[in-house]
Amino acid sequence: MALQKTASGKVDKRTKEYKEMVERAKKARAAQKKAKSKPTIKKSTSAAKRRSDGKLDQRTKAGKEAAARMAKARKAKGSLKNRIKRLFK
Amino acid sequence: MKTDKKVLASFLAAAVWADGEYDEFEKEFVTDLAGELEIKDLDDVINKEIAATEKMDEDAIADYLESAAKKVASGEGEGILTLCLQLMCADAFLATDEVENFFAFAEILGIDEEEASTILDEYVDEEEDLIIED
Repeated sequence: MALQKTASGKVDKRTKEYKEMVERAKKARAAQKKAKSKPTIKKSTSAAKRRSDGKLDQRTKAGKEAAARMAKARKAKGSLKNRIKRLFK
Repeated sequence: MKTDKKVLASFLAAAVWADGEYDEFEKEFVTDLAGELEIKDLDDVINKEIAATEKMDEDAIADYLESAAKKVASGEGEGILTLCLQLMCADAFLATDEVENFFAFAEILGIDEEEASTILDEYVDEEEDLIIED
């Protein structure tokens, strides 16, 4: 999927693509609900798939950098701590 | 948090299954989470839950989680759902399968789709580095 960027250069997640992905997920869930009474939890083998289709490179390079930034920001901002306080205390 | 750690771990383990990998960033998130929740052995408990559910098919996992959901402390379902989302996104990617599982977790936890959508949208807005993957 081509990702759009915001003016600051960040990936814009509130784009048509993000919204379409959420809608697809909701539609898939609705179809599952019609087909059977219980929810379906997907067990993905996509990690293995990524290895065969070359996408693993993105996960290991761009993905690792992004994940490291997210972890750093989580610690610096105390976002997890604040979220837990808000949700559980 | 009043919910038992094994119950929390069963949902977090199921969150790991969405992309099939319990990677270094997810483990780092679990370490941070364990510190905040003061559950020293959370990683061990999650690993046990991953092992326990490894051979289960998708329906069996849903049954397993439905049973666990009954033991979630009152008012903590939204929190558990949010932590599952954070764990799924710890590797910086959010994929369609993960979003589908997120809504399935919401249903199992008794959270309606609109409320779950709000949790998802707010989280995605907050995480600037998150990569949306088709």
